[in-house]
Amino acid sequence: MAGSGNAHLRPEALLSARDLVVEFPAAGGRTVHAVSGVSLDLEEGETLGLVGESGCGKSTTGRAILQLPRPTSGTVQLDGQELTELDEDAIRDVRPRLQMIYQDPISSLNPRRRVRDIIAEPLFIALENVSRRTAMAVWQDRIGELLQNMLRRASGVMRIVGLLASVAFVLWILSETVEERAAEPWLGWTQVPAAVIGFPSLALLLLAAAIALLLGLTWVLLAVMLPFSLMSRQFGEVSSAVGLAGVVVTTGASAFLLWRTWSSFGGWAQWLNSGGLSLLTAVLAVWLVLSMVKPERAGASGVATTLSAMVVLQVFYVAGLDGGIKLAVLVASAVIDTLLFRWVLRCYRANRDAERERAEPRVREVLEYVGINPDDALDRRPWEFSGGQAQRLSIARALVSVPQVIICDEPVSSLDVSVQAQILNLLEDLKNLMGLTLVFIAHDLAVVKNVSDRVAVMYLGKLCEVSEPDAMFAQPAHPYTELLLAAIPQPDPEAELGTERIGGELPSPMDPPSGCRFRTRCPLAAERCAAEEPEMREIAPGRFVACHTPLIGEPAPARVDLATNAEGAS
Amino acid sequence: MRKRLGFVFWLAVVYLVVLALAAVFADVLPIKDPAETFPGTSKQGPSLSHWFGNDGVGRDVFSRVIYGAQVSLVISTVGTVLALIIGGLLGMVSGYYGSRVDRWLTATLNASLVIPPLILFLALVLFLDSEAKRRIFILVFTFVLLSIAPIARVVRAATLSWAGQDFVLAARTLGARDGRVLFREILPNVAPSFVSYSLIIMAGLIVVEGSVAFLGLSVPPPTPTWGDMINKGRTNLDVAAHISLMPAIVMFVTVLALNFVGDKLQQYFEPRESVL
Repeated sequence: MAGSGNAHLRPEALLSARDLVVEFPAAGGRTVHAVSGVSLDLEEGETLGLVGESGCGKSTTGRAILQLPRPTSGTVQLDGQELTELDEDAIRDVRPRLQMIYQDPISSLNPRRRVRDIIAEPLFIALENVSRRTAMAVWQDRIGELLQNMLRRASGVMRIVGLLASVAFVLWILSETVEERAAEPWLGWTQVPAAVIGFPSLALLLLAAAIALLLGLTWVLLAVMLPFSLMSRQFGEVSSAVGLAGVVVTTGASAFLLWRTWSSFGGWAQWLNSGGLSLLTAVLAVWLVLSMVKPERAGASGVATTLSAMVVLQVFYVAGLDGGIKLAVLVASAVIDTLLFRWVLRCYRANRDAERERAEPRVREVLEYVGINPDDALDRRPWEFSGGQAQRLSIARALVSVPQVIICDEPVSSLDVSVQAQILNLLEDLKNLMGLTLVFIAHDLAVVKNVSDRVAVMYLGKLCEVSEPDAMFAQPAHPYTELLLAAIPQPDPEAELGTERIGGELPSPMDPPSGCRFRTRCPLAAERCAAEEPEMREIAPGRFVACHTPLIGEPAPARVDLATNAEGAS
Repeated sequence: MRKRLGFVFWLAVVYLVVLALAAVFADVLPIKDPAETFPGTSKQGPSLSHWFGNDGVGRDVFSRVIYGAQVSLVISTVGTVLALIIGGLLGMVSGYYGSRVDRWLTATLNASLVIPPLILFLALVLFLDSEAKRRIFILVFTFVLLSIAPIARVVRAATLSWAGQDFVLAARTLGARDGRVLFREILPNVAPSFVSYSLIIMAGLIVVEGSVAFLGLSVPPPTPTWGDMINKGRTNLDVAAHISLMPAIVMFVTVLALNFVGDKLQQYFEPRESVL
């Protein structure tokens, strides 16, 4: 009965999984045989129902098709492309074509994010994955864009601060290089100009320096260029050759600066007291820039962390000054801090909003597809929706990336009956509209019957029967299918209770029965069932079954195959 | 139903802000020089001119408490922020990747919990410390080392529970990289738990600084620290209890306030799902 074999597979399938095996290590060196040699295929536009008891490996099969986790063995082909052999990067590019809808709509949506971000996420991810591939070019574009953005948004005050900061920066560089500071661990008077202009403006400058670093300019060059650029509102494009040279020079210069400060000061504490502090700030500034270039990756929390780290460093910095100057520095810093933070956050928001704006038309379109009013939904969070609505959101997210195949993992099991019908109709409509191919995993046979073109029955990691739903429901071929059908509750209080339900528990997948896996609970089990594993074979047109003694058609021809026997018995 | 933070929460926040501001602006505030000895005021109790009284050699306890806050706050903030970044990262990586990475990280972190904090601290001070100026860095370093494991464990536990949710699987199905899943999907959910926990760690570090100072191992004199003040006042407990009591009270209230704010934030950030 529940057995292997590929007799039911067709040659021209869109998605084809062969001999999928998924095993998990369990405690005590044992192995859970979750899926043991399942073969499925789907033609374009078809819906395959996958049914079975809880724990029979339906969901695991669905996930193995997505390569999450990758199956232990077996092959999965999508449009002729073999997925199991692809590396992680390549599989990421394929995944948008294979989407999934989950059983629990609430837990499949991140409670901390808004609908507009959740639905747009596939677009952001695609953008990120593409931009990684063409990293250099895209990065330059985006940084250039950001820089323009920053300059456009810099107010008059900011520009004056930037100018002063660059002067302070030059002074600071001079004091660093000219003065022998080993004898004096805390900050000396030459540092005061930089300090009075304010540590944050130093950070601002280093922030700009970090942009230059990414663009391929050196810090020193920047200290000269920045004021001009701020004044003229133009920051020229830099070619990649200059960029590369700049990166080399900058790296060398930073290494030299690091080495110089390190060697001239006794230890890391003193090093921190002087140039090291600024270098740390530079690192933070680079981080900040990165987070602004890729706002959807760093998030507001990332920016906030960086800013707070800067403030902590500032405490160290200010603590090193004389009492008299301290007040001036503190006041100046407080003012500049505020300016800087506001500006950084505004740039961050502007960038994030730009991304959102770019994604919004698509998000709206998809939300309308699934019957959710975008105007109400966009700024709400998932837990503000009912289960049915949340499932619609989940479907919308799966649709954004224009998938070919959607694996629905019990999409209606946790919804109430009236909503179930709505979701099923929605899936049906979308399927026709977008030419989707569906794998519909469920344990509710009535649901599966209505949506499927073909139904596969699973038991303990193996397939029992693959048939057209109408024929299967009218006359089940496999004893397990028959029992499943008998277990459908009848909405008639007078109806006899099916006493002949499946007895006993599902055997442990760690130690599956020999031969046919269903034999321990099968009313028709014979000796042969324990010794020999049944093969999938066609017993009637379009009806495939893996059973030695099916309920319709001929019993399986006797087969004397010692190898199979030995395998089955082990 | 909107959750409210309540009056006491804001009281605690205001107290902490005032304390932090006082510490930062100590130099320019109209308070006494913490090193100055006022003749004839030795062991004098609180008065109008010396709010918290004077210590054994006649220095102003109030101004020393304010200056002591600088050390306490810098050590606890920097220590916690660093420990949070390192421990949080380790915990998230451990909880998200699971299997071998998790086993090794958890084993290492658990092993680090076995080291008695005081012994570790003594060893570091003895081996690394030659100069008093550097003591504060060694303090911070040790505190970071000590707080990484507890923070990583909390974050790991939270990560484990979130990483099992379907939305993480969904993100991976969409082709998201691990970094993106960690920072965009898991971090926002885990962050509340470790931000509020970090305040409790911060309070813990203030207390640890106190006990370390009691052994004379904190930032050395003349820099005032709370622990050192409590320690010095010990000899005069019978005649002038305020010398130890005042810094002790301030430390107590600070720790209480931090714990309270941490607790309240934790409750406040609890996912709303529970409402459904």
